Amino acid sequence: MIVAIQIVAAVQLVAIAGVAAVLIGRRLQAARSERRRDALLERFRDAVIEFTCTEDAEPPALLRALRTGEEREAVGTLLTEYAGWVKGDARRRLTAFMVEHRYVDASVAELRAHRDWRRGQAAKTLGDFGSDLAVEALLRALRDDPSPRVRAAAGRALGRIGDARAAGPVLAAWEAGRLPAGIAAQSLLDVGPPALPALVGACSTATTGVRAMACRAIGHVGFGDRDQVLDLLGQRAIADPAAEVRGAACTALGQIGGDESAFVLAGAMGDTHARVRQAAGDAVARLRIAELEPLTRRLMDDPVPEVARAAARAVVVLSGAETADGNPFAVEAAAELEWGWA
Amino acid sequence: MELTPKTTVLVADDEPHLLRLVKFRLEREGYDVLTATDGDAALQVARDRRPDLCVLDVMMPRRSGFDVLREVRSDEHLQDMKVIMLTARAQDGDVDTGFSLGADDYITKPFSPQELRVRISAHLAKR
Repeated sequence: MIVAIQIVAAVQLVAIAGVAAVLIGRRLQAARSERRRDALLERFRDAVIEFTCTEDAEPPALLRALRTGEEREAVGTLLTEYAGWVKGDARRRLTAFMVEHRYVDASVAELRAHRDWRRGQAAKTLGDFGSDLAVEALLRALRDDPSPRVRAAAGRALGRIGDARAAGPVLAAWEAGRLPAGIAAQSLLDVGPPALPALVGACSTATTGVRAMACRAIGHVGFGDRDQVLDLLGQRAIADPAAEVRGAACTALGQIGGDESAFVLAGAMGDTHARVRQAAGDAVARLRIAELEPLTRRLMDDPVPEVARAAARAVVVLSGAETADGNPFAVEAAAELEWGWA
Repeated sequence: MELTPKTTVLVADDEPHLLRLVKFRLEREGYDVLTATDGDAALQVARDRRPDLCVLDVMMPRRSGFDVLREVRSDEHLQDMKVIMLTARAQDGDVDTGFSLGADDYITKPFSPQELRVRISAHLAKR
């Protein structure tokens, strides 16, 4: 009986030792491959930096002679780290290199990976690469991927690529609740002026938040037909049923409007909603519309502090703090302007 | 043979990849490049080494690039140093603030390395 127990104990001991040996072996192997990967990253880093930030059309010799999958992977990692910081010719050279060496294809294939973190990482990488060859695959991910994180990464990547095809689907994904507002807005801003037709269309959708965001985005990306866009924003600032949209339209007018926006902003300063009056006051300050100074001065007595503060800032910009009779908001605004906080 | 001192450029940014990119590019041009990863360090290096030009990020730990610029412009030993803002803050108001505080130039990220090189060279030529 005792002998049997001893045999069982010995077998257990051997089994435990075996498992421990396997675990230690795996850990050592992981550490070794991590060291090898770090060494490869350091070996190729300067070559990738050189290719990223010099004007040489050809990649450095080291990058033209990649032999193993590990080397390709290390260079891909480095390209992802650095490509996002540059634009212009440098970015175009990097993108061409990544297309030629099939980094884009590999990441597009990763968008079909089983794990969502791998799909999200692939989407982010494609945004860093900036190749328009990835747009269709990213649009599919934005529309169909079940993971909100992957859709968000795809939306962000589409903006970073800056392709006009992204604007409509990004707006649609946001309206359908499949993309967070902040990411949709950032993507549209990154796409820039080519997104304008989609944004103009979005000013007439049924969803308040989408109309408001479209107005705000138009204020940032500028305009194609100036008169048409200012007219559209003017209509939204005065006649939209939602205060959020009226305020957003005033803000956008403050960014891209001019003296011709005075009539609309004068109307908005009499809006029933404080948020709209405040946005109108801010817009007058930005545009420095002198003819609205008397109206803005009256708005300094608005019962809502945020409105009075915006009006005071406008008066200080238009006429100087000394004309505001010691109004505390005007004193504050003068200090902000002097210190560059406004 | 007489040695001429190199033109010194300070690059301040808390993003290590960007810092390395800009440093590499400027060293390739023959500049002596100093680096700092926060606003306090940037100011300290500027005071200690008096660089000819500073490439300054806005959003940095400890002290923003705008605060560093304000200090630089009020320091009699540094006020003539050329300052180029290199920042992700691209709104009109940010650019206004940068120039009103005395920046010589304002470049937004992502940036064109070629453009940065040309602008640095142009500002240094004006000294």
